[in-house]
Amino acid sequence: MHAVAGLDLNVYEGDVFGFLGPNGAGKSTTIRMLMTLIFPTAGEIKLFGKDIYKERKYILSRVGAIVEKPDFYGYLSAYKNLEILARTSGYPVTKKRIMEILEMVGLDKRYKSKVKTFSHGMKQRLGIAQALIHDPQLIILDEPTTGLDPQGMKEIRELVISLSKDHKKTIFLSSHILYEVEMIANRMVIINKGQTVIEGSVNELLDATEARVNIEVDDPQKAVQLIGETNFNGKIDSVTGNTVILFAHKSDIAPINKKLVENGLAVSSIVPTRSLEEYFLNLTEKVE
Amino acid sequence: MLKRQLFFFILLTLVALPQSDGAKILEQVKKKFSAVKDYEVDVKIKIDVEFLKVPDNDATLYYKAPDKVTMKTGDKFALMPKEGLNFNPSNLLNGKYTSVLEGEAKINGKPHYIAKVIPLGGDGNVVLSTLWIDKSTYYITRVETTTKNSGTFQLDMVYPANSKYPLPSSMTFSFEVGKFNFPKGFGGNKKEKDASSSKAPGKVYITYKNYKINKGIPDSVFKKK
Amino acid sequence: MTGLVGIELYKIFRKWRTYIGFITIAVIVLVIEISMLIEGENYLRFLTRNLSSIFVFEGNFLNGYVMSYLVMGALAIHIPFLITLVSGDLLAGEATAGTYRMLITRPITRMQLLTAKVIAATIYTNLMVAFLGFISLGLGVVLFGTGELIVIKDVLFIFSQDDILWRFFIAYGIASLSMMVVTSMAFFFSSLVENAIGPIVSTMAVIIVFYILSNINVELLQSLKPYMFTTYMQSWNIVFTDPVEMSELWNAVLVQSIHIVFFLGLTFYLFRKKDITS
Repeated sequence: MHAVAGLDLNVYEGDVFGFLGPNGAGKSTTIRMLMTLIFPTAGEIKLFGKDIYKERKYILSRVGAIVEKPDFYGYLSAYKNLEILARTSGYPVTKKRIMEILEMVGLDKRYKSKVKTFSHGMKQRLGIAQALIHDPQLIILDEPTTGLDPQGMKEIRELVISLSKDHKKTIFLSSHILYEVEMIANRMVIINKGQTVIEGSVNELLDATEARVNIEVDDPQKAVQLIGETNFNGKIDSVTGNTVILFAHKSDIAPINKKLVENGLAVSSIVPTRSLEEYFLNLTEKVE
Repeated sequence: MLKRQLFFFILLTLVALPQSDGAKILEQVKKKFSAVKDYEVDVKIKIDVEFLKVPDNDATLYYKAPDKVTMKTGDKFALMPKEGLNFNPSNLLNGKYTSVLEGEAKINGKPHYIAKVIPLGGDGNVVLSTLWIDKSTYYITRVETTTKNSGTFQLDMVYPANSKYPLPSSMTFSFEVGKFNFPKGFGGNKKEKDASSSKAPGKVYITYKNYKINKGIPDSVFKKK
Repeated sequence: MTGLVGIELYKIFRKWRTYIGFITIAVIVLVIEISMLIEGENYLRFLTRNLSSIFVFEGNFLNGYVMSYLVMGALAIHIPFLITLVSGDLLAGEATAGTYRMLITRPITRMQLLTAKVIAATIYTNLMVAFLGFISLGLGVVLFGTGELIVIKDVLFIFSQDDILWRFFIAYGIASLSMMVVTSMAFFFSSLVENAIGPIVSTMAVIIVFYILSNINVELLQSLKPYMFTTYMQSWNIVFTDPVEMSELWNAVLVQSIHIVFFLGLTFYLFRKKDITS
């Protein structure tokens, strides 16, 4: 029983790469191994084509990471924390650079405050700051939006996009929230039980799979009948109250909507919900 | 009847004679010493006792007749045997005592009287003192004293040739030291030593230099600080 | 490496708990010196009662040197405890704070990180002992003046004034070494756990248990005594005899150095392959 076994990931320069998997899939374990925090029982790990144990300094000076929750020296200021971490990397950090990075993550006004006074969201942002401070090529973010409120999540997402577009960084982002990845990643992998389930471009993968769609109509029974008349080859899951629940591809939705409306039904909402587990279940069902 | 009386008379005088001789000799000793009204002297003290590792030390002694004596060291330390500090025949011979002239002996080739002195009264520390008195100078060359509380000790004196006063140039103080019972904890590790002799001989060597005799010493010098 | 050591020292000295050590030492020294001021005469009389039947004493025996000597007794328990407060926190503290993740993912080797921490710990330990020396000797001499030092073991020693300082310097040196043993043990425990309390308590527990065992007069335990490092923690006292047993001194230095190398070596060895899950 392995936490992670034979994981091959292809992350290309400039990607925002989504590393997905349900809880316990082995995402954190993988990231910890990449960052030499824990050791594989067998096999080798390469980044930038180099063995991470043999060329550790070279590799780690080009990687910035947040592993799980970012933690700092609470009794020191944000500024000091960054300075210490940068200096530990051997990076010739200047005050200017630190303030620049703090500004980038929106913490420049609190640079003197002790980190123990920071909220979770602020710590998350500071975490990204420490991942950036030494100007790495690759940034690894382990569930960066965990514990954040919607506003916080949005800010992180925007930051990630900016890092990729404006600063040309490669980003490796782990998450168990599909829609988040959907929004910002261009490529992704889904792992489960320590192994790759599927890897590829986000758009292609999501398009190719079905999602659960809740359609709220005034006459659900009639809707079911009408849907059956289309060449919809997803499946109708259930009907609850006024809501018809189906599993459909994205491309199925517009025709279904059109059919229902043309036949006089009032469609009050079409809500696609994709949770990774369901997405997954679909995938794994297919694989089997 | 007369014969018996004569016999007793002769016996009495025979017995009495040595006593009065002893007393006479001791009076001489006292007289010599009373010439010293006061003195100030520098001393060097060397201690050779099994349980003491003490460097040689210096001090200045002051004496003023009849019984004032003190030791000053500036701020340095000094360890001086009490008996050596207080060595003064007057001490011994001022109270009531009986004395017996035991005989004579030679010390370093010089003839000495041996006098035994027993203080009367019983409340002093001294039980018995034996004095070896130089026949020619009436200076005390040796004292062996048995005390109630401090065991037995011996003083050996050497006087400068042709000295006017009975003040020694060196004194050796010998005594037996009971094994010290030092409290634990002050010095760290105590080695487990064999309980060899519970008593060990100790010697203190004192040399006296630069006597200033009868120059007058104010009483304030002897005030305890 | 200098940079890393500087960072570690900065982290140590920005924690208020570091200052507990220095403040406590100052308090201990003050308490001892004040008590001696008040009770000193009685104490000396008690110590020298055997001698005073035969000798007359003169001298300033309530001086800075005597105070400093007494203070060194604190090296048995108090100073080790104060040292574990910091040394025990060096690695465990990172785990508690969660900052291991930040540190070990930096482009430095784990060895470099550990070495920097060990050097910082050494500096701290030596600073503590130096501070002890400064406060007790320095302040002691200023307040009480100089004089002769009485040391009582199975022999009563009196050291003359010019024969004392060099002994103290060597004693402090050896004391530093002894405290380094404590540091290295606390450091070792610190590398194994995720909370600083563990190493602090364990190190002190080991010290106290060893002390207790060494004082039980059972043959088996007494034969183990040379192997317990606590036996050598008082070896600074060897300099306060005459003649100084150099072979004993070197032996103490050797045994303690071996302990230090052992604990640090073990720490380095185990830490290299440790999975950081905190």
